[in-house]
Amino acid sequence: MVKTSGKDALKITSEAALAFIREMQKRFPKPPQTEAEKARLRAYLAKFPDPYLKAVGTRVQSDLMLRPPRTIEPKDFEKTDAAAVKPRASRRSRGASRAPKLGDRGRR
Amino acid sequence: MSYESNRVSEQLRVLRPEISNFIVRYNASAGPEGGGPRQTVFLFPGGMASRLVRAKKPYQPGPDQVFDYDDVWLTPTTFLGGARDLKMRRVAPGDYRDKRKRIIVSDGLVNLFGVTPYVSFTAWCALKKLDYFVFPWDWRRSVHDVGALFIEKFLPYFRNLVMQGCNNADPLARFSLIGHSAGGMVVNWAFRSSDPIMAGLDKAITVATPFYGYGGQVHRWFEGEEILNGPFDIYRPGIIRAISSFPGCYAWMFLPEDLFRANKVAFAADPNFPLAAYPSVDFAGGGVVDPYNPQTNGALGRYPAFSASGFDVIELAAGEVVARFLSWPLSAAQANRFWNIRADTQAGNTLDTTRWKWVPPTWPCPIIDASVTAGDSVQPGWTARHIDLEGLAPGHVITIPNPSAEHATLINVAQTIARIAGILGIPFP
Repeated sequence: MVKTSGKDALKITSEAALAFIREMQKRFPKPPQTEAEKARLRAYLAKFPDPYLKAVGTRVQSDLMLRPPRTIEPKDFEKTDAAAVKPRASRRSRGASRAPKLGDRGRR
Repeated sequence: MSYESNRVSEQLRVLRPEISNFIVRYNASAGPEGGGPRQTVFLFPGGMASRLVRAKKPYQPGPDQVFDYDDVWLTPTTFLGGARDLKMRRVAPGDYRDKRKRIIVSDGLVNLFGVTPYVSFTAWCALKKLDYFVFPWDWRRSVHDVGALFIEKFLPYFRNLVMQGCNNADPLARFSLIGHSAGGMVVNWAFRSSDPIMAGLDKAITVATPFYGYGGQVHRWFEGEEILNGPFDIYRPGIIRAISSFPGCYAWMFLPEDLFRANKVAFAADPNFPLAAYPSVDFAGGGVVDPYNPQTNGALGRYPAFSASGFDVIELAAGEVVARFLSWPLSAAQANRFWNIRADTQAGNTLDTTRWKWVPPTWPCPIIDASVTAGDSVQPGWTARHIDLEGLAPGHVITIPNPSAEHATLINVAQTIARIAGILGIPFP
């Protein structure tokens, strides 16, 4: 997390915003349907300070505009041969072997 | 009445409160700061910046119905698997149904954890007493679908209500369009229209809009969207199916290769953002891989099968038509009222070219990001302007060099607003 100054908005990295979302997803494995479930979600979010939530909201909206949710460093691409090109997966690559194949589940 | 006619009637209905707000602002103002004739400015938000709401009940055949709505994009629930409810289904050419026939319309801008985009820009519009309207649009749909709705349905509706509420003042006597990101694609489509209602169009401005695609979308056919995929990718199959059902997304990929070849010299000659080679190549052999002309290699191809993921070759073909139309050469008259604003964060970390493996397997993702370049962190600089524009209308391609000029917030940056003000003839600050 990067706080620039007292007057500047709080900023967080893509990785930190993704971690926040992942934690929320783990705590709420299904979309809340009942009023009680929705209230539980609201109560969970209310634990976080507004500036932090806004920083997450800002970062997530930026990342959803079609960029990967990770910090991109030019040095990651300094070598351009096939062996050195960078796959997009970040923390997901650690779980790639456990990732479901398309169509295995979640088919709607 | 049909599902589509009901969807359109509901879309117009939910925009009525904002039209009323426009009327209130219009009547409270004597005109823009600095004098001059009144002008209406329509802002088209970027892709995914428009709030989408979903009817609580399914559509039933019969007279047009009025629905209550739940937020479906973008709320905390969206990340808890709710994004899968955005999936569409094509029932006929150009005719789509929302999931479980629960109509989805766009209603305002997203607000996630208290953050709404474009606040600075709209505040500036209000400060300068510009007659502005933020036109939210369903970014899942094709640009031509949205553009047709805007021109053929919304503008007459808007004009009629405003004239009734503002002593017969015509809000379309002089108006401009500003589009951010994919919203600029709608602007690009609309400003080429010869519909009589567009006669009052003065300026068309794009901000951080891709004209020749970018490398991010092609990942999503295979990866979904990481933030939405859930822990251990539990939602990923459904997210991929949803994304694959959105006709709009198919026009966001790298330009057709023959288009690049036809403009190769011009692309390479951009002094600030040159593109020397086609940006998508085969992972092993380095040959061109045109996303709109996928080849086969025996049993191997470039995209997942429809049965596996919902990737739709019909939508791919339609997306190519849109991509070609939006990059069609400009006339001198068009160029004179067209501006493209792009950004350079000066970090050199905007993803640029890609390498593409044959599929199957479709996992891990066969798309590899191969390089970075100057841009706004999402769009490389070379894609964010029409290749003809600077030659036809010098000064109409504007680059904002600023570390804060990231894609999502570019339109809020003071330098950007200053340039828009100059284009519109509004004093700044």
